Amino acid sequence: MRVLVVEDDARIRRFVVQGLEEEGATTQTAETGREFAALASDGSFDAVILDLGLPDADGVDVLEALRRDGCRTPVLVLTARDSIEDRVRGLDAGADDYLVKPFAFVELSARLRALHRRNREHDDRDHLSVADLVLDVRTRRVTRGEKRIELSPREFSLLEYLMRHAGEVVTRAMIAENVWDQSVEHFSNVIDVYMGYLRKKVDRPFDGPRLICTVRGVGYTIPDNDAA
Amino acid sequence: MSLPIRTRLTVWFTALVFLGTGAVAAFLYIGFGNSVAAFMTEHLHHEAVRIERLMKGASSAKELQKTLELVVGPQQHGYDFYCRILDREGNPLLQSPAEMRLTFAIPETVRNGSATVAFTTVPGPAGTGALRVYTTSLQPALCGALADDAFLQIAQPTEMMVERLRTLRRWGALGLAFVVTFFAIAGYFLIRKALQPVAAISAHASAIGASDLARRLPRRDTHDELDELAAVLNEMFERLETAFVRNRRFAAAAAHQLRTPLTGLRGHLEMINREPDVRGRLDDVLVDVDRMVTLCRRMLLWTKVSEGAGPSARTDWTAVDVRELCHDLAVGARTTARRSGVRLAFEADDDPILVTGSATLLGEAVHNLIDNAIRHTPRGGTVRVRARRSESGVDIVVEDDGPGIPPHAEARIFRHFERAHGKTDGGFGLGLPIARGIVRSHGGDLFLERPSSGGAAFRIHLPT
Repeated sequence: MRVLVVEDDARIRRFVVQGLEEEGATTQTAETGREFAALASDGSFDAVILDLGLPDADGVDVLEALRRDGCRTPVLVLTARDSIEDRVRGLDAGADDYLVKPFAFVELSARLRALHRRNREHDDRDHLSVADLVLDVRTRRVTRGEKRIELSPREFSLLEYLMRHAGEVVTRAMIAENVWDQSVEHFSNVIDVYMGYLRKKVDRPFDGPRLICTVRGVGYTIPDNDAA
Repeated sequence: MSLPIRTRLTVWFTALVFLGTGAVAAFLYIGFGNSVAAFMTEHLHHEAVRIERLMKGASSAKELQKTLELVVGPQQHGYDFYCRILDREGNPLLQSPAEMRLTFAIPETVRNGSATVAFTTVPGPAGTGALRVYTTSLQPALCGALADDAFLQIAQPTEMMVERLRTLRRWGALGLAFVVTFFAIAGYFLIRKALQPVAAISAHASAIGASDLARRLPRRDTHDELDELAAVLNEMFERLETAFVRNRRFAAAAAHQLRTPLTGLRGHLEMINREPDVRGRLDDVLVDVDRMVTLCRRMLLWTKVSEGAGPSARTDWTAVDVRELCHDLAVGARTTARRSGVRLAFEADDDPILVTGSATLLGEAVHNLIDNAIRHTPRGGTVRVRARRSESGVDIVVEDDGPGIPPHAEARIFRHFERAHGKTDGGFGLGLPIARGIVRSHGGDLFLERPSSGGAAFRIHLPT
């Protein structure tokens, strides 16, 4: 994975680059809006990490201009601004995800991988399946093997989110934002509790392999069909 | 004294009216009493002169007695009038028939001749009032038939005078009571009317504190003292608002500026923590860094929702199911509660309770209350979370059976960085101010209640 890191603060840039390279990504860095525009326009990156507070320009404006020029590279925005207006403005300008400083690196890396994957396949699937677990988004039916599984609406949304990201690690923050529409601070435990409910219904009654796995210190994952 | 000013002023005013009117009445009363006494003295003197003139015509003691009977007696005056002639030792030589077994000493000044007349007041016969006594030495020519030197005493009861004065006192007291009552009532209404602008100013001023610091007191442009007061208060609000805004901006900027170095710090610690020979040894340090991160986040949130921050953005407002929100937060908090040995109970109606608002912010508010309650409940205690529809909206109650909020801390707990139980409870002292700010920005309010079971209960009320 080739990642462009646009960040003017050298210390942050250094650990982001170090972390990504340890995980096997190749990185290139930019410190200004101009550099970013020049590098991103050739479209050779799999993802961009963009800090909004750049010395020469507002990251949102540069991003908007790039999107107008047809650049489709997924962009994860990093910012110290976390007001709802800022978030909305960033996403409207064409950002694919939003991470507020300070963040944990594992969070950044998990989101980046999810972004990268999402970019490859536009996800409008109605049928999600992992091993013998099948989830029908339209009829809201979940079955494992021949057996029907009854889920509450929240459990269903949670399983759907996990299955859409099968093969990826999703962090609690990602789950909180996407399933609960909440920030993770107060919902981290809630997610664990619901994950417990889900395991009780999806994994425990069946002989097959356990599908919902905990990734210690990061979040949860469901293996994709290749692995399962 | 904590009586309202209008009452105090009325009391003072009435007291002054009472004193003034009372003093005037007392002067009049004393003057009248004096003139009545003077009149009586004069009357006695005239009588004495008349008796002496009559006595001149009498040649014997018998005739003298007749004369006395003639001038004295009820038929003559319409009231008791006493008259007698005494010798030097005070023994009566002659006396009027009116019963008078009283001995009035002869005043020393008259007896030794240094004065020819003297007035004294002596107690009268039992059951009657005092007597005014006139004593004079008789000329030898007049008393030759009786003794060498003799004294004439005539006496008149003062009862008439006393009765007049009593009547005057009675009417005076009545008049005084009437005047004082009238002035007390009139004074109260006058003072109340004069103080009305103060009440208006205080009502407006309290509204300014609670909702929006940008509001000002209305001016009446009468340029009197109270209008000036409003102007001065407005200037004060101006300065207060400026200071408040500057304060908030400073907090926001500080928290904001901290984010970049914290990001660097956190990231580098995380990277070092991955190295094989340190792996996991920095976990505790990362927990501390995350605590700072949380504090930063909360400071920023506080600057956005605290009192006077103005209306919050409603870009993320949606329909929020309060029942589900509270349920999930209570479920999530069970882990923390179990760790502190606290039971967490959730009660709610079965149906969704929808309000319009920010799910994130409302979640933050409810979470802060639950978190607070768990931290203040001793081991073995219970925290109850209830979500109910109420008459005018939704009530979310978080109740604990901990030590409760001490009365002296009630006002402080909603202020930032203030805590009811000192510094040991692990909070930042921002939870309640933030919760209240959030609830108020949703048009509701946060109340502290004292449940009968003891402990503390916070109630969020939200309009639907």
